[in-house]
Amino acid sequence: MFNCLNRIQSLGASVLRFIQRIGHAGLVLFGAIIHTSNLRKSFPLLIQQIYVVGFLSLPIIVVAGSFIGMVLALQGYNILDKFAASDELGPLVALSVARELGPVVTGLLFAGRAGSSLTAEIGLMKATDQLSSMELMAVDPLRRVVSPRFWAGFYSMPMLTIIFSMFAVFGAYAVGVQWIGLDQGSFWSNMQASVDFRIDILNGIIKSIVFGFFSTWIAVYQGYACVPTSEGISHATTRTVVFSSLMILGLDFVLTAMMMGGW
Amino acid sequence: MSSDSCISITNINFSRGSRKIFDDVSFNIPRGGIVGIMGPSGTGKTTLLRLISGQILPDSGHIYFNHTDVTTLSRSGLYKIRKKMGMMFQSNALFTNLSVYDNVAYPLRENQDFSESFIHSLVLMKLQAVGLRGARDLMPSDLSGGMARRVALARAIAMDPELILYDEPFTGQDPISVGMIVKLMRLLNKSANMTSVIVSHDIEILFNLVDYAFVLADGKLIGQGKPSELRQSQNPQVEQFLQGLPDGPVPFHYPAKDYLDDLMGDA
Repeated sequence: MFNCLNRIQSLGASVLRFIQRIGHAGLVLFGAIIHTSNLRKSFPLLIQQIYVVGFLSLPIIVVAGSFIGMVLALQGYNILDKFAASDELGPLVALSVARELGPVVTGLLFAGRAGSSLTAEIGLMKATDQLSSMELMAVDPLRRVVSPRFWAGFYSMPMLTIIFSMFAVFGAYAVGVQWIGLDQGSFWSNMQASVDFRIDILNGIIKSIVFGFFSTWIAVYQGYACVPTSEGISHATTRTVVFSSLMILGLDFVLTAMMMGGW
Repeated sequence: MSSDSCISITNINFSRGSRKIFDDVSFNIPRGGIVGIMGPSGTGKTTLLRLISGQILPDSGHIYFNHTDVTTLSRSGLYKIRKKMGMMFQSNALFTNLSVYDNVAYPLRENQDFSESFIHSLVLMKLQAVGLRGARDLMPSDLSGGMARRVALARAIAMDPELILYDEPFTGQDPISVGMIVKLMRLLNKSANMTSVIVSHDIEILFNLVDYAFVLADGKLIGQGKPSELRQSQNPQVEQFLQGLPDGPVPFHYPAKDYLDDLMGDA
């Protein structure tokens, strides 16, 4: 009986802790969003963080995009060729990448590369008292540290998604047209005829904005709220990658369902 | 709170989990003096500095800085009074991505609308005061422990604070570095008329430096006075701490059940 009550009690405590963390994460996000008023001081920090979070993520995005496009072209050609529809390779690749693979894979790579880095950096600043020293110097770490990193992630994700998708299409072109020998004209013209800007490209970009918002929020919060020890930072970094990845996959389903439903 | 107190701590209680760190502690820190806070490890000396600076709040009680209750201030109110405080952390807490110059310039750039040329002059003056003007372009990773501590001191005084808090400033320093830091502390206190609060275990260094000292143990203030008065203290806890005795009122062993019972427990 007591054992059962203890379990219920610990379950209740876990739920309360979870709600408390969600509330704290909301306050951190609110602080990061409202503390961007001084443009003269915050703009250079934002540019610096876009360089760190976005520009330095480019190599992995470009390489991953190219290879995914190439693999998609090979697999797609094998199947389409059975139905004598290999001319539809261009639309297949473009729609797959613009609607799903672009935002989702970029989001997952972003969480692994930039999200983990953000968490570790903020966590290490906390562990070495740098955040405390800022507070003692009357500088709000939410404004100086969290806010520019959050906005940098938010702005970088859609740009990285567009770059990823472009390189995936070029990768597919290299395999489908240059290597397999499909007709260049039908590859591009079928793609142009099948891809709708509003339904396919814009929806993909909306997904990437949502993924960027949530994965960067998770990353900065995990760093800001981590236990300031080496083990605590390690756990926070792992949580960033796991939570962001699951959040991206879950949200992708929800957003796809909404978009398919003609919202 | 007396009118010549810089800080007044009134009946503060503070706990971490089930552990009581401060149990109804009250004392005043006089303005313009150098004050030491001493006590065995884990008595909450660093916690006290965090309470004074408003980084954490007590469970009950009040802490006044210049007659302003730190415990009731809003976030913006806290930032306002922190412009009058400086703190030197045990870990130095230098920004690893900024040079020595930029570390010292940081609070000035963030809090003041000074021109860059004026900030340049101020930073060089602060670095000259700690003897590191020539090291302005070095990164924190290039500094020795003593140099890093002096840079942290230069940054702590960059805003010319009224109160400066030192958290274990002598830990891990060689005798030459300790001598330099002590000399700087005296000089800054005298020339800028700051109130200095130093948390440290190093009794001899502290007693040669401070005007007044407080000894904390078991969540209570167990002694206070001038160094000469504390040396004469008859309080067994104060005596044990000052003489560095391994066992006494502050036990050597962490509370545990009977040793023999513990050893035979699994038999």
